[in-house]
Amino acid sequence: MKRGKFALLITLFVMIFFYLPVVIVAINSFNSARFGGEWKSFTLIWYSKLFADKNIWSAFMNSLLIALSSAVLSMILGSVAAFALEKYKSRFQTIHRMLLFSPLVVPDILIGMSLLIFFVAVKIQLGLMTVFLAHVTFSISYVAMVVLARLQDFDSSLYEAALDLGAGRFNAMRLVVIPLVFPGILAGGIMAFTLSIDDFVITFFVSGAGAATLPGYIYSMMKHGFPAVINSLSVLFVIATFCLVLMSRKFLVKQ
Amino acid sequence: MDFLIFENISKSYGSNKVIDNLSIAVQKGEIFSLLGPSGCGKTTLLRIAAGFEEPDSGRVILDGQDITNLPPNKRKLNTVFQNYALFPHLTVRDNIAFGLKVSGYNKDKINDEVERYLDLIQMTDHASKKPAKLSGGQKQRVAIARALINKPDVLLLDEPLAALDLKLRQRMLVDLDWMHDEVGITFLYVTHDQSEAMSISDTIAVMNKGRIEQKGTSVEVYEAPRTSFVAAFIGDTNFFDGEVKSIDGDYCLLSVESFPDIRVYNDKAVKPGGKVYLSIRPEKIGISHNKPADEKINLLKGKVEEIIYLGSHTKYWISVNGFRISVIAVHNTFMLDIKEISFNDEVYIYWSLDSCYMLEQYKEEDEALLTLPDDEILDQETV
Amino acid sequence: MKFSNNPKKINELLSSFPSFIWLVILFVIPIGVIFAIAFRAADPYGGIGDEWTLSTIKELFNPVYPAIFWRTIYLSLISTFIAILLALPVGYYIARTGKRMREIFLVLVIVPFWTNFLIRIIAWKVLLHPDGFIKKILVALSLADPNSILLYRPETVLIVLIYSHLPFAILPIYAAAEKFDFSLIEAARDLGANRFQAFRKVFIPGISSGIVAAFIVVLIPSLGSYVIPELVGGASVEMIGSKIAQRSFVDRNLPHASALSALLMLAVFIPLLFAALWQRKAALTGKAK
Repeated sequence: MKRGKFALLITLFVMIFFYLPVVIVAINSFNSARFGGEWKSFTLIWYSKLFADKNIWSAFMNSLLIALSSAVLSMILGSVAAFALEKYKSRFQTIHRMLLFSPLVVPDILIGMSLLIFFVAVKIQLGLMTVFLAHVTFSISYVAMVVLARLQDFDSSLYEAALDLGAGRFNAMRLVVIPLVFPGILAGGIMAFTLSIDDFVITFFVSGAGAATLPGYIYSMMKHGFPAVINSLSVLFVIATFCLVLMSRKFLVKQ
Repeated sequence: MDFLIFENISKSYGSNKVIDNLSIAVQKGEIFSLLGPSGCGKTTLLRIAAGFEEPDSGRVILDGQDITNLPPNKRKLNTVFQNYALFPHLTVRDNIAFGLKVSGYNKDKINDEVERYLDLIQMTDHASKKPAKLSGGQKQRVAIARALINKPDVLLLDEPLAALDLKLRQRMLVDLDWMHDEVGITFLYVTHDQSEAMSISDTIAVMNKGRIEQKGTSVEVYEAPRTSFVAAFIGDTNFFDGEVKSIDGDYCLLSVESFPDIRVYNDKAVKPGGKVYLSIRPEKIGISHNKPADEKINLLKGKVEEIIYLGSHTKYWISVNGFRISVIAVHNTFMLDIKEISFNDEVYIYWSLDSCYMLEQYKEEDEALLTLPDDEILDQETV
Repeated sequence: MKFSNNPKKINELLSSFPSFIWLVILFVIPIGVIFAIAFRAADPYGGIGDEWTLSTIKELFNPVYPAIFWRTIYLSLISTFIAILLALPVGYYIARTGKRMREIFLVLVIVPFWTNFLIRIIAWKVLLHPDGFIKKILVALSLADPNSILLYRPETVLIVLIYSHLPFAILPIYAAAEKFDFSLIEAARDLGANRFQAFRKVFIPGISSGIVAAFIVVLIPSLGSYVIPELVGGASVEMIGSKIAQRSFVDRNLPHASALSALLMLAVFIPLLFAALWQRKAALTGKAK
């Protein structure tokens, strides 16, 4: 078999492997039978039940609130950090870089656990605030990574040209660097938003009540049987993610 | 008048000394070129003038004012970058207007000036385009206009034509020259291309390893090179070395190993016994089957080893007692009627006593700059 | 990139401090606290006791644990290995494909990567449910007994681990493959290698930094898996992560959970060290990054 064909086959297999479960769930979300064993009839009832469930709405609002706020703060902190890493090459920055990228290699459960112990030890009340703090903590690294990649591709002679033409440092940043780097910053923000909305493990550890966010609520639903509403919720989630990914890739396209 | 002065500039990166105690002055209104190979420090010197690098020691003085410690945006200098550095998110018009905008001029004045310069570079029809939609030559013109509109005291050009193809480069050179005459601004021009430098400059400074080897007009630098580097870097040449045997008025006689004695104009006032290095450019050497009658020449006999026909001229490699000498013969008559010089012919080569030039300094490593044929293979020559 | 030649030290500190301070307070210190609390005893109300003690550490020698540790390690290693094995041809294929298809494939890979992983696990629970789709097919093909349960087995956890982490393996391998000079493979073929040999001897070493990145990015989350063994593994397929969660929330024994976490941290450190040493060796021997 030609190498090219073999690779293509594996790729297709992997794509099917990825999407089969999702497709099944999608089909099920319209299936009036509770499990995908057989098809009973087409129905939208699982969607209407979804929109009627108040608990889901409040969990969703919490998730949204935390995702937006943590995305904004981590966008700022991560971008500033990326600028520092790119501009200054000192030993301090080496430590800074190590620190910035360590959370990426620590499993969620350890981050969650350590924050839980920390909050308990310093007697901070667990709740939306602790979830917010936790989300910013792991998002900074991702935003910094995305913005740093964008900065490294940035043509430094553009900044010099701005200075050369009479712009002070602040104006040069404002009129030339930021407009060109901003799409990268935005892409980082979208990533932070998605990470926050999706996060379960860390949130589970630091949210105290355990069901404050949407993933948390889904989990608790799952532990108590399997309401079919989960299927329709999942479908909407995937669609929303799809849109976010497309948006973000638009921002990452090089000029 | 000395308008832009570099005074005792030195700059090192780590252990690498890029500029070595360099002092030079650019006259007001002239086109001054820094010519040299990559790594010689010319771009660094330009960046020091612009304010992007700080010299380790020395001063930069512009129009009487010490600007060494001024940041780039406060200097009355503007740069045309090698890769143009046009702002990709702004239109041609906004790019050109940028310098005036950040300096706070009023809108109407800016618009008028921008239209003027758009017209100067003939880009009025493209004013609303973004740089990505422009060709190399167009980007170049926009970059120049963007710089010139600020009426800098000196325009700094960093290899502005390096990214363009040959024909375009030749056209842009003419444009640049014309623009210089139009606006009357001093140009400091950095390049590694000798034909660019020679054709456009009022003054050339040849740089090598952080130092200026020679400064002068194009003719001075070509005809009277001070060092073997200048002789070999610009154009092509042959090197001889010899010992002064005797002096006869304005000329001296040199004994050269394996060659008959050579007579040369003694402008360096050498004494008998002194060692002399000579440079003689191939186009100054005549070649013929017949012995020339003139007495006031240096005459050698040799064998034709290689012939490269280039249309307007032919380059010959002549072997004289085991040494190779390059000769260029320009064809200013119809060639098909003339008995050609062929391989292995025995020929006379000769040059007038004033045509070879004494070097002040010779380094053997500079011979590497000349393109010499290997024993079996001959490199393609572009003269 | 050089902005200006004289960055004031103050500016550097000012721009680094926000992220630096944040991470020190909310990342470094908490991790330190984990190690510290491992030396405290649990207080009866589910909090942290007031005295330093080694009793918590002693509890780690519980005979239940070795099996769990071992299972965590081998499940993680096997799933990482299989994930990389699958990711290699996929990364290769996408890197060689034309621009337009490439974008489509990348979006197709990234969407699962960004989709909430709970939902992806839920999808598997649905698929593997006793009355679910896969079971019906397997029974129809006579590959499974109608009474068998597909869930709650080590194999299930393995499959879902691979499923969850495969995008993380594909992306770094793809990134390295994208930078790879494929004419090297043509050169190898020209010198007589067959396709498989060229793949093994030229492509794989060429993208080795991507493979190492994939290894880390799949192995470490796998070691810390909690939700997967809990939802599709059940009681018989416990991993360290599920035990940590159990100790924290069910037994309310935070110091014990802390000690377990510290242990996991050390276990995670080993592959990281290996990867870092490998990178250094690769840099010294001049291999392409």
